[in-house]
Amino acid sequence: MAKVQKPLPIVTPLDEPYWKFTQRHELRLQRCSRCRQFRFPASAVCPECDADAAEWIAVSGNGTLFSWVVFHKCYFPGFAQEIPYNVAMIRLDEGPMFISNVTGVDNAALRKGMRLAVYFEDVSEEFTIPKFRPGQDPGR
Amino acid sequence: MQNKIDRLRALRDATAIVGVGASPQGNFPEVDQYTLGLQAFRAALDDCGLCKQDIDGLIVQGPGNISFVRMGEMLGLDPTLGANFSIGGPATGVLIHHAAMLLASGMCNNVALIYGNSSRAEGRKFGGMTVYNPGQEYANAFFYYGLTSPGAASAFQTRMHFDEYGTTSRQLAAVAVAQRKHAMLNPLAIMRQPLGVEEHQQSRYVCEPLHLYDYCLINDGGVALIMTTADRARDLKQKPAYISGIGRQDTYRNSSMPNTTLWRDTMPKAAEMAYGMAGISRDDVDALMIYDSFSINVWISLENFGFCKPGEAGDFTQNGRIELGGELPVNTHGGHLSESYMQGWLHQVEAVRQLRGACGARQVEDARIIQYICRAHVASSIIYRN
Repeated sequence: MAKVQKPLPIVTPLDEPYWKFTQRHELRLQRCSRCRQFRFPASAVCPECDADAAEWIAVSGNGTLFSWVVFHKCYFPGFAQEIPYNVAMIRLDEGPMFISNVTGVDNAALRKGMRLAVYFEDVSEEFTIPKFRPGQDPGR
Repeated sequence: MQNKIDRLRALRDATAIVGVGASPQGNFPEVDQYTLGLQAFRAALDDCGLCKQDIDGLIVQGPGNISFVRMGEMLGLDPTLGANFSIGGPATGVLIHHAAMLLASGMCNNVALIYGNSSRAEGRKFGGMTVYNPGQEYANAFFYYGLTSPGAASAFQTRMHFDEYGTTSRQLAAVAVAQRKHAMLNPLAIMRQPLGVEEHQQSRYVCEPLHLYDYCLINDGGVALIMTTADRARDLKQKPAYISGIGRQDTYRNSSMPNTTLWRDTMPKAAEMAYGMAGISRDDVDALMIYDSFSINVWISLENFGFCKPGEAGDFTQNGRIELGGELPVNTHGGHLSESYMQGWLHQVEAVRQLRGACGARQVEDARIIQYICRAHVASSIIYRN
């Protein structure tokens, strides 16, 4: 039986560059060209300074676990094999809050503040999704 | 804010809920949401003594496909206006605010608010592809990580509360336990068997750290309210429940993400508006109706509306304080957790019935002022008095 696919990202003109970069295993976020605030998800205008212009800036992919939940109920057939799976909020070292799954660690061992690092999972021909696993302390 | 409150005071007690109605609540695969809403509407008209031709404002709401145009077609009505507001449960308080403004401004004389919900019959899970809605905020921005459902957003808030204040799931169980006790005194309630803390703790997780009994029900039903102006209200069958204060404050920043602020910065503004308009303080409130899609909503609402300080709701809700007979009864009908999930509409019905003294075994003694609170990125409150 064919593997049931997980939902794929819905690409809009605003975040098309994001998915182009992840396909190349690069994590780049949209940053305001004027006030240098990151906009995630991507936006047509800077909520802070009203500027339109933005650039796609590479970020380190390092961050700390801010909070997380664990799904015990299956809402998507494509996730059935992974129940219970976590969804985490990760504070990137550059400041923005990011959403992802944390793998390579038991859900019971997740701790607020733990260091995490990005890796890239190629889920289809078109899409590569950034995920996180335990990372190194800064400065090591 | 003060100049808004000064002007809003012209609306204090200017409008009222005069009729309430509800269909049976439960599992009704043989009917649709319109039928359930219509059953409730008939009951609400009968309750106040108006007839359908008196209705010149038709507000229709529900979690599925339900429209005021189709509802009006079924009713054979050409009202002055119809309306809805597609933001789910937080719309309830908002639509009552809007009805009050329509009545106070003179646009309408009698507004019917009809709610129909066939979520159980339709298999709605409030998560997964059933909420697929491209371009909208949090609802589906991160499906590819398996993130979905309002329950997950509340689970994040719950963990933040636990992490920041040292509160526990065992403390949170007090909310579900109190509301179950209330539901056992309510003939309309779906969940009427006893629930204890241990049973709550041993129930399965849906989205951890929230257990099954921290979640609302999903069921079918209809609710209707009839609102009119204070001068008309006095001539009708029931004692009016006056709209004494309304409060609202939105926040849209970072709304693609699960909320991380527990709405500390915005909800107190809705409280200030509602108390300022009504000219009362928290101490005057006899009971609270709190939008409880998840138990944690009750903590967040109590804290952000100033009934206790941030972080104190864990202790505050223990030892029967929020139960009937306690200092501050909350959701005396059983709420979404135990009565029925009508997205806040039955909370209004309960507020009105408490103010009429019509709640029988669950009556709050000498209830004069009841407040409704809904937390959310669209926060709302209503202060009712008799």
